[in-house]
Amino acid sequence: MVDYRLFFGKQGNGVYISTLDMNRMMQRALKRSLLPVWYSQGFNPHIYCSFPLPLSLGVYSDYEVMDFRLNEEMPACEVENALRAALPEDFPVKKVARPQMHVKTIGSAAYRFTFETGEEELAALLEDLFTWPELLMEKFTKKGPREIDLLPLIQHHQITRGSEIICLDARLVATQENTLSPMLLYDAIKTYCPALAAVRCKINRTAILNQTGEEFV
Amino acid sequence: MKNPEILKKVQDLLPKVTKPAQYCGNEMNCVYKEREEAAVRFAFCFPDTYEIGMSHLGMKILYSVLNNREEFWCERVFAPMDDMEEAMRKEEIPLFALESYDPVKDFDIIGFTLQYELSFTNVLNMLNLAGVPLLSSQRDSLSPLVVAGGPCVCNPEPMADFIDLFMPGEGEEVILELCDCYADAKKRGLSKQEFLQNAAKIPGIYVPSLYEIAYHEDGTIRSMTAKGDAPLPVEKRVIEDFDQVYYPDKFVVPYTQTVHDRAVLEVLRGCIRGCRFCQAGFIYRPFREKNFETLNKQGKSLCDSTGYDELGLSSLSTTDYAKLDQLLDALLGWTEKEKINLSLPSLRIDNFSEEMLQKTGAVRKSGLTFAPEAGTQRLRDAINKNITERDILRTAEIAFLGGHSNIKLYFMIGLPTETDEDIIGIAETAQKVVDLFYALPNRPKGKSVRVSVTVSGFVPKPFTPFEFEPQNTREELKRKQALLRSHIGSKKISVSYHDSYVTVLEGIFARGDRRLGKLLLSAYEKGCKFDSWDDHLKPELWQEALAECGIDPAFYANRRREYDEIFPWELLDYGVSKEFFVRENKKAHEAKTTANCRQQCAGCGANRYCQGGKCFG
Repeated sequence: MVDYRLFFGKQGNGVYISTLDMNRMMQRALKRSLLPVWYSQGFNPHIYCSFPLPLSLGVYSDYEVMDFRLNEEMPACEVENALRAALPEDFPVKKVARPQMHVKTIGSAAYRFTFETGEEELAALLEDLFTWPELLMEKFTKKGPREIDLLPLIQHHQITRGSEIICLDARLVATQENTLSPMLLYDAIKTYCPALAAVRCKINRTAILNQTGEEFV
Repeated sequence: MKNPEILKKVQDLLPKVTKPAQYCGNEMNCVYKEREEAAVRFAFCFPDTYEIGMSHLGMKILYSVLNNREEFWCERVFAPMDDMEEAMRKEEIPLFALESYDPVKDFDIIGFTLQYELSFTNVLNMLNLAGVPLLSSQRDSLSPLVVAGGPCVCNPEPMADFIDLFMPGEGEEVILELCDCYADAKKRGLSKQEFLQNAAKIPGIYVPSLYEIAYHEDGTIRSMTAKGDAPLPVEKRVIEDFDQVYYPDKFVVPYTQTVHDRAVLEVLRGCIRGCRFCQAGFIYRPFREKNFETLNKQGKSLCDSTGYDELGLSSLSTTDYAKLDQLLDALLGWTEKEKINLSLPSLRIDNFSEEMLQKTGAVRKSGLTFAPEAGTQRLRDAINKNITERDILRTAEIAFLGGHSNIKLYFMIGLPTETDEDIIGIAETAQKVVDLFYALPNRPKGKSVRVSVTVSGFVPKPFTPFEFEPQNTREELKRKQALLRSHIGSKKISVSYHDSYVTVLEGIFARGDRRLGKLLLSAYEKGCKFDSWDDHLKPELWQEALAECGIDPAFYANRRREYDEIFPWELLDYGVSKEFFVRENKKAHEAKTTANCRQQCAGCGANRYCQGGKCFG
């Protein structure tokens, strides 16, 4: 039993596939790939695959991670090719490698919010938001709704403006204890900057990082 | 490349609607072609939501049949859910096909599959959402042509005002012939009328506008006449060489969960049993099986191309497949290794065995389902469901000893010749199964038994020996249901009976005629759709529509029909003769059974479709 890690993207209409559906889809893809995949034991054996940091629905991604196992060791590029052939085009395969970091070391995720507007005023509005003392939003948890302050959960941010677009790059906390979903931040932006709510926005996950800020591999 | 205008509008809506993935397409194995290169573009419309339609085998087969021809492009269309439909109407997004996102109204042929009568209003809604005029008479040009196939086409008359052309019977060959005829008409610049006249000459195509129906004062049919040389009756289409008929080697694999998430094999068509209430068993005759080696190959191709972990063997009665053991052995030869579960739905009680139980490992411990249908031997004989109480108990025993403690039993109430004794018999049968469990020394330990009795109201259907029978009224069904409940003596037995206006509507449309077209239109305009969904069905609106159209549902559902009455569906010939149905109906009233086709031919007439005029041997 050998562990492997798949790095892939989520594009096109694939962004509307939930994690549960993606799980099913990956299992079928692994089956189609004819790789010697490892099955869980027990009553109802199924192909083992796990997603360390699931993505909110509607968010694009260049940095998705899935852990799975093979029964024997194989060259990573062969595994990569087999998966590339088996996966639909909305889920492009980036790389397959042996996992190097434990999932517990995941610390944050980087996102790019691209607003389809180049207006200076709107960029200023967005800049201003990050200077507030606190950014309160209602988060729905298992124990019921809780009000939380988003600002401490945003480790880093940068806003750049072009003639047609405004980009917000933000690094959001993502650990087992606490995770800030990009959709929650987007909701906050829409709530506190209503002018931006009318603008089309594409959210893309650009990286997953460990607790020391390195790329999670 | 998806239609950019519609794509942009839809993408804005997707974050705001439920289950957005159902509107995205781009699934594994879906087919893309170049628009300009397609001689015929076919929009295959399933009149219900994605998760229901994507479980339908017929659509998968025909999608593949059409796309296998280079010059035809078939795309899929499903009914949007309420929130999406509302948004689409607001943003002026017409109904579009999943692959190209092109508007359905721009297609050459719009085809609907009519699976159940309660989907008819959805057909109208989808046409409306597409921006296509609902009535055939309002559509003058060749394109778009609106066609329909599926089991309800055995009595298509209620939809005759809306559909240009029906395809009774099996579609694999006739759908290609239709498209060839259409492509030719397009090239030659024929009018819609000219095209329809040509199409009517193809065996297995029924063009309703070429027939006239006249009625007696009492509402029954006086005559049905064909215009010109249109055939009367129109014979259904039958695939002669069922073993060699085209079957897909790929299925589109949905991302989201659908009702059935598995690869499916069609093992046989038709049925030998002749249960008198069952329409499917008669309209799909003659009985034909596929070779088990063909099936094994087809199963492997499907599983390889989809990655599904379950393979279903589908048919009306899979345990009647002659070489079932060989088939299962062949399949288990590779499915076990690849951890693919075999699922055998529709098991008959009288040939169930321990071996069957073991081989079909996909049977989840949540339960096995059997259908005795009636609670006494007398009534089972009358409906020709040839199983005995001994069969029921023996099967329950096998299931219990196999570790199952949950059994589901299906029954119907409102069957012809039924008495209260028969209703009480249902309770007694369920009790006997419970008692059996406790009498078994080797029963599953630490578990108690659950017998779930599901009861539905019987609706007489066309092309069955019961097509003459009156349906029980809703009140009568409610009374019988209460009677049944009052006779249940054990907490281990649960009864689920769904009293619903659904049964009333089915009763009207199943044996309806052309005059129901205006009822459908009226109900639809009042807001009726998704009628098979409990939370959408609006009995008050239907009642209003019935009153405004001056239609008495009892005329269609609750009256006894004479043997010599002309029925609307007799415009079509589905292979089984009326004489046969009359004979069987008489036997039913005498509680006399008829042997199955393998034991003795009962002369139903379907043998004329078989080689040498014999269904077997």
